[in-house]
Amino acid sequence: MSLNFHKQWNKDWFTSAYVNFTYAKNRVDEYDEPEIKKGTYRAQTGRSLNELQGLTAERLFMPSDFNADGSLKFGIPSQSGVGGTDLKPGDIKYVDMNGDGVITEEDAGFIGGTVDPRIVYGFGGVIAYKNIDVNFFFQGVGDTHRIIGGSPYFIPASGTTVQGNAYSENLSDRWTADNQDPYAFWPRLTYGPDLNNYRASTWWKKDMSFLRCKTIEVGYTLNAQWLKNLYVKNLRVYVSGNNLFCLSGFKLWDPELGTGDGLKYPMNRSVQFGLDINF
Amino acid sequence: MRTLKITKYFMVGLMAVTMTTSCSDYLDKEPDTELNMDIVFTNRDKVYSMLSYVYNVIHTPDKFALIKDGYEVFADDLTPSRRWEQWGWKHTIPRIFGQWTINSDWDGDLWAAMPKYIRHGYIIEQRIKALPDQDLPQREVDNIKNELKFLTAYGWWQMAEAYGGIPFKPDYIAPTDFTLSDLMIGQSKFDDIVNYCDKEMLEAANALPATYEDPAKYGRITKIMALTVRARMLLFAASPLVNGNPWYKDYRNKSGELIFNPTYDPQKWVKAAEACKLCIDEAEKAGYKLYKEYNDDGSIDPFMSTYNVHLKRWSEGNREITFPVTKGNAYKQIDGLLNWCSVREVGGGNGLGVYQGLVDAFFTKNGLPISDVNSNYNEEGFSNAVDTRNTKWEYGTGKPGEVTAKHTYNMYCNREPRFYNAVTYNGAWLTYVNRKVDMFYNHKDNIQSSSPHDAPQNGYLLRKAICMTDNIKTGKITDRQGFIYRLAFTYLDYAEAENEAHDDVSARTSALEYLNLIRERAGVRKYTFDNVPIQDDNFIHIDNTQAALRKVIRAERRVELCFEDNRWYDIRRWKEAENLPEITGDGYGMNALGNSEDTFYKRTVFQHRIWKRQYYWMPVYIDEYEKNPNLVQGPFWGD
Repeated sequence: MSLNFHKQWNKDWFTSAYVNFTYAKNRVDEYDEPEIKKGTYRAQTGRSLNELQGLTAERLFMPSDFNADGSLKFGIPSQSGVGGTDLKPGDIKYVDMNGDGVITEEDAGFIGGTVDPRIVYGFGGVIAYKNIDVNFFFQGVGDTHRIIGGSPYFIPASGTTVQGNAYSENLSDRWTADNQDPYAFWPRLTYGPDLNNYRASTWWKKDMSFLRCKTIEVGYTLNAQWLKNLYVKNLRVYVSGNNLFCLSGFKLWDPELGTGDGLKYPMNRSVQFGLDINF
Repeated sequence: MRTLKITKYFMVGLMAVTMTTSCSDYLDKEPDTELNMDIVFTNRDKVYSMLSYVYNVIHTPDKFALIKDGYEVFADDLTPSRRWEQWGWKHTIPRIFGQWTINSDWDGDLWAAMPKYIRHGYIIEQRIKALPDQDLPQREVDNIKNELKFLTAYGWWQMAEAYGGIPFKPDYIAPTDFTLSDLMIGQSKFDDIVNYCDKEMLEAANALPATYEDPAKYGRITKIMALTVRARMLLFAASPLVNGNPWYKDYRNKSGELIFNPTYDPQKWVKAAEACKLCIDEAEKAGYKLYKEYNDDGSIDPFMSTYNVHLKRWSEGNREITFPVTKGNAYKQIDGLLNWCSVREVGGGNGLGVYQGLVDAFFTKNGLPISDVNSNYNEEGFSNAVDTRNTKWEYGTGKPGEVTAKHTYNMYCNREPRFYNAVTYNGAWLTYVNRKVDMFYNHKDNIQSSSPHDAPQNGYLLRKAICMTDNIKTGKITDRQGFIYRLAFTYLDYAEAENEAHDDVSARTSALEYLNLIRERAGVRKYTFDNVPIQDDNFIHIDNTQAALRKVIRAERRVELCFEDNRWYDIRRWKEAENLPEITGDGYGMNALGNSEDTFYKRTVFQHRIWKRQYYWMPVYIDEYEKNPNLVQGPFWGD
């Protein structure tokens, strides 16, 4: 859907605006999968194509979840079925979706959201006053999610033998023995890859919607008399900026990059100066 | 004019007629896309093509395709560089660190692959017929049927050996217009599968020849191949893991039957011993024997014997190979054994190491374990002379007869010949680069400045079955015979089974006889129940008890059959994993971060593994498990 609007208010003011909006959602109605899955959180039937899959995370483990000898307290499901063979406070605690008392691969299902955005929109406009014109254009997407990480090298320093990238944005938002926050962004660091912590789950499912200022252009048109002597009809000088800023709830890297680990060359922000000369 | 026209039409018409009645039906060929099962069995090439598909039951190129099944990685002989898990090892290495779930991909994937080969095997058995005018005589057809009888049983056995409880419907070819629920059978009892395979393999073995005269048929199933596998199977079935194991008292299939028999049956050991003996007798009758090379004075040269047994082909006189694999071998592949063991100088991976526990398992020169006070084992300091022995082997220092150079760390001095052919320790000689290996931190063979994962992580590299002159950089690589089993396997299988089957002196004597054949070839003193002095030149005394003999047999198996895809099989069936510190916790080696003699030669922890009881059996992959509601997950995998 798109709308356009133009209005010359008076000889000095002119405005124009346009907006477009798209909503797209699909649903799989029939899919050949085992009967045991249909109708549950693990069924593809009835869900969108490429809907995200993973475990459902609850919080990080606290020392109060463990007995004195390091074993899990009675009633807390074991997680060795998903790689959590050596659990400690600070590891991610998952929800037992099927109620069988243990966390296994069968607790992994569809957790909602697709990478392909369901909402795409844009708006922009022109405001002109006498010789000055301002042109802007914004573009955004909504209802798009991505599971970040998923590799042993994602959690800082927890890859094979202490490798892994550190993301500067929120390094302080991590679980430590001094700061045992059950909702800290980064779970406990480990010496080697800990499948329990880097595997796909709602813990790493992030909303990747953003609104980006694609263009702002400010121009000034000169049509002074002395230009006419140079056979110039008019001259416009302008400065324009592309990809100036991005508003998004996701802070680690530019959500438009389309990556789960941020290891991509970022979008370029550019500023141009120019002259438009009409002879 | 008019006549010309008529003639023209007449000529054209004549030509047209003659052309339509062309000579042959050269172009009248059915395209191969119209191939169906009936056509296959009227064409010799297609029959053989289908048969070679069934030979995929022998599913690895040979036992050195380490990244496929991963069995060697799960055991405690070899340790690949951990960071190789980013590459080809991603489905094997993570498992030893606890990252093993029912969703883990497994390249071996027997559950999905074997039934396909088995089904094809049954189809061929049912439909093959002689094609005398295409060089497929009836006796060849009969032989093929027996090959298939073994191969299909071998397929079933490999699945049962890996998973424990498998859906088992032998001699059944599911129709292509099946009803889905008919295919959803539950898992069968383990013993039922073993009994079926035992019967089939024995029938096949009785009908197959021990060797083929036609060299082009080398690699096709022989009597000895069938008997060897049958003996190994019965040995596994008699072992503590599945013979009266209390761990599995609640492991039932969907109908409530126990998958493993909870009652211990000593007859299973007897059966295993008989099967091993049958195999040995038939093999020796047909000319199979341990591979030995001799010094000029007539004595056995244990260095060259234990070196070349892995390299020489049948045609070069190596009659020890009992189960050859001719499809190819994983030795010289780009991502293969030779590459992983070769140093960086020739472009190798340089990171396939060995656990300290295995280094410690090798005996000393006088045949005793290093823990024995009489072994003269010493790991302090360095040797002050060259160790010279009666051998033509020249891979110790580059000169024949020299085993270790002067100033070699004493841990590696005065050890048995098999040690020097199995492990590359720091200071060992590498013939293919004509120098000693140098594993100090950031030295030539432990470069840290780039790709530190391509370095020995604990100060050792694998050497067994590697030809010391092979160089992947120049491309000079021996062409060798891949094989899965050699006669030594069956000798040791027999020794163990006979000792377990009967707790009496005659059984132990018989078992000892074959154990000693291995030791004699390996150049270490033989065992005897007689009382001999400690310094006796030829014999070591052991107590005449089942326990004492069991201990030395297990120790011999570790050392003789290391890296040959046997250790995991032994660990599992003995229920030994919990007693092995390098599987349940810290792995040791030399200090790869040391760059001087004082800092390098120290026993150091280099990794920590995680062990869970469910790892004894492969889990049922989650997709298979979900498809069929009549399956139960492998024991302890549901916890």
